[in-house]
Amino acid sequence: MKKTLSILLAVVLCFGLAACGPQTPTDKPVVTTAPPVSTTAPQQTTEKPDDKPPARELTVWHIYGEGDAMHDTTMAVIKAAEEEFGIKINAVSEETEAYKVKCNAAASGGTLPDIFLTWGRSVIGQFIDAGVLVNLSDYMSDDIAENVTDGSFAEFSKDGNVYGFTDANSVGALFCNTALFKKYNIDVIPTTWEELGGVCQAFLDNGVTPFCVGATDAWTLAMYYDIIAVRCVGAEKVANTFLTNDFSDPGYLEAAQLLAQAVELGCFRDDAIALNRTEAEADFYGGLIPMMMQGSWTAARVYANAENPDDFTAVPFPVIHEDIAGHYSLTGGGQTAFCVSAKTADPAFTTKVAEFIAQRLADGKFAMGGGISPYKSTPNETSNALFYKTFEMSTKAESMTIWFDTGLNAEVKTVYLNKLQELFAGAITPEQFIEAINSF
Amino acid sequence: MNKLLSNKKAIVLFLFPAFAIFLTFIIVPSSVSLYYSLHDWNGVGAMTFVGIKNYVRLFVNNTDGFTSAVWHAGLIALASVFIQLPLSFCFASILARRVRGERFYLTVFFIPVIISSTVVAQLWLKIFNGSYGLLNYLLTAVGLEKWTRAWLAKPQTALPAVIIPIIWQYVGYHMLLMYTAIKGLSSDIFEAARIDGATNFQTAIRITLPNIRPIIRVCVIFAVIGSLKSYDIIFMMTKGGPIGATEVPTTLMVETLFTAQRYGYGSAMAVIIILLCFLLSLLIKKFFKVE
Repeated sequence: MKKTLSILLAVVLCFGLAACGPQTPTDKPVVTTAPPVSTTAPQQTTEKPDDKPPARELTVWHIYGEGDAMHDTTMAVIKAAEEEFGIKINAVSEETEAYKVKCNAAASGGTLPDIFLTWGRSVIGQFIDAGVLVNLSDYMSDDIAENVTDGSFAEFSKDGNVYGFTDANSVGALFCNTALFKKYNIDVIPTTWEELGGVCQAFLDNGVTPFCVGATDAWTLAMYYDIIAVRCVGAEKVANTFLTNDFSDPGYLEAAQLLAQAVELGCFRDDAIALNRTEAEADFYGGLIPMMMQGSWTAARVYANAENPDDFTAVPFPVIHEDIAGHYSLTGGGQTAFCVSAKTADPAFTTKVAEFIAQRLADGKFAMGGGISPYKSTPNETSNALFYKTFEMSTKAESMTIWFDTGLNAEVKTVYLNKLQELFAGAITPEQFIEAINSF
Repeated sequence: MNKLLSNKKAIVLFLFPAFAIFLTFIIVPSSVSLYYSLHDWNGVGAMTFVGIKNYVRLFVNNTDGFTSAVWHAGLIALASVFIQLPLSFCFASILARRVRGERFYLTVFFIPVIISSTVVAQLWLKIFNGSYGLLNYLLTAVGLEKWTRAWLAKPQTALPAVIIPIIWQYVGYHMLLMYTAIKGLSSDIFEAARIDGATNFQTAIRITLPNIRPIIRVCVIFAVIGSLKSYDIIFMMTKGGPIGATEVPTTLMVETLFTAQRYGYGSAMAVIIILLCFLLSLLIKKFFKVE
């Protein structure tokens, strides 16, 4: 009796464990990499009462989940794609950092979805090298090839082949709160480094911290170093650095010295190293800090957070050496792009859907002030005047240098961002900073 | 019962669920980490076997701050054992004496344990904020304005500032364990101590403490291992900064794995963290010598 009871108990325990396990596909929809139904040929089925072939299904991964400003636009685009192609799209979103990890894990496990969003240069580069992406050049339509603006696919291409359809470009700009400039009788929006020094001093004399940064999120700090380095080194040489990891050009040291001087002068809050982006930017939107170097997406945040968005303007960062880089040598480039997994059942069809989603989302982002459209067909209309200024800047660009944390490979990028924080905190000298990032 | 325990099939059946869980969630992931740690891999492309190079890099001419991260975790462990546990013991001893409002205080002390770490981190971020933080406000209010500072922005004060919330959050947890252990002791021994003229302090140190050694050992293991694994509050308050002042092995490991995409090197860190947890558990068990 006891033996029977013990066996029974063990079986019950095992059932209990099984119940704690993942649900079966019949319990809950499961996102699969390959479409459950082939996209090449509709399968014959006798199970459906109407005897119609099942709709094609594709899975799309993106980062615009609920709560994101782009969520509604993204879902509208997904729905439009479903109607346009007569398919069902399983759209799955994740928070950005978790999303990156998920994509890497899926790429290594061979479970990437049909279409997924990713970032340029080094990020997409690893997927290209691993052979997990469809070469879109083989399938892309003439329409998109003619529609895209010059160089917009560059960050998502290798050896002349396109691997991602970008949905937005961005540009780095110096955002200024003109109301604060007026309040302290500063009538110059700086266009040169000397003017910028004068403006900073005027603010400091009035007890106002000139620049906003939340250096816990190191990429926001990199926005400053990136543009100063471009202005001291020159766009062409910086592009070469992304290939060679060679930071020996004296311009990089000069850029580090200028940033360190600005910190020493008190141009940033003294606790900026402990602030994250959101905390820091609250001061900017709240009219406490007059200037911030950030990407064009900031325009949408100004409109969402500032009491009077019309007080704000966006201009190119001041020139440091006119002979090295002009006023419109900008930082920015392709933000994100949609790629197609090499495991998709019908690469030609999936590429068409990716084309559609990328172009429509680009239109939506531009209309909202969330990103500069890389497509000529995008209606030149936006409800965000500040964003339009950044767009106009981008149209005048002499050069567009991709953000360093996108251009550099992952390992160098991590050291670059960490050492930049140390430089900012005064823990290392500009020389030590250069030595550290030049060690690869 | 003896017959059941001598039945090998029954033993296997009963142990199987636990073994399956242990195998799935401990052995397999640890083995995979060990395998990755012997390779150079960016998480997507091909893996290159590098032997123990990643382990050597952790300890010889290390430049990413792993050794200081281990040191920081050690400091958190010391603070947990020598500040958090004595505090918990004090609270448990007092509450076990049937003070008025015993249940109320038990609940109050336990509240931080059930609050999400995100909320705890946000709460203490507001306390330590250099501009509008409660701590600076209080210091100013009592005339100690010169002591005010951006607590989380200075490497000298950032680590203590993240240790305090960690201690605060789990004081109630250890207190509850100790409180339950004390309640389980016979009231006769406390009666006898009182008749012999022992003070409350002497009773706590000479009677209560030795009698709850097994639970103290558990608390010490939890505190030390918890310190080595601490991640959430630190990540949300400082992300390991400023300039690595609050970096612990877990925050560094996550950055190495998912930001730098050095899966081999990051896995070596994971293996070292696992080994440290095992080693310290064994040492603590040996120290307490409790069967």
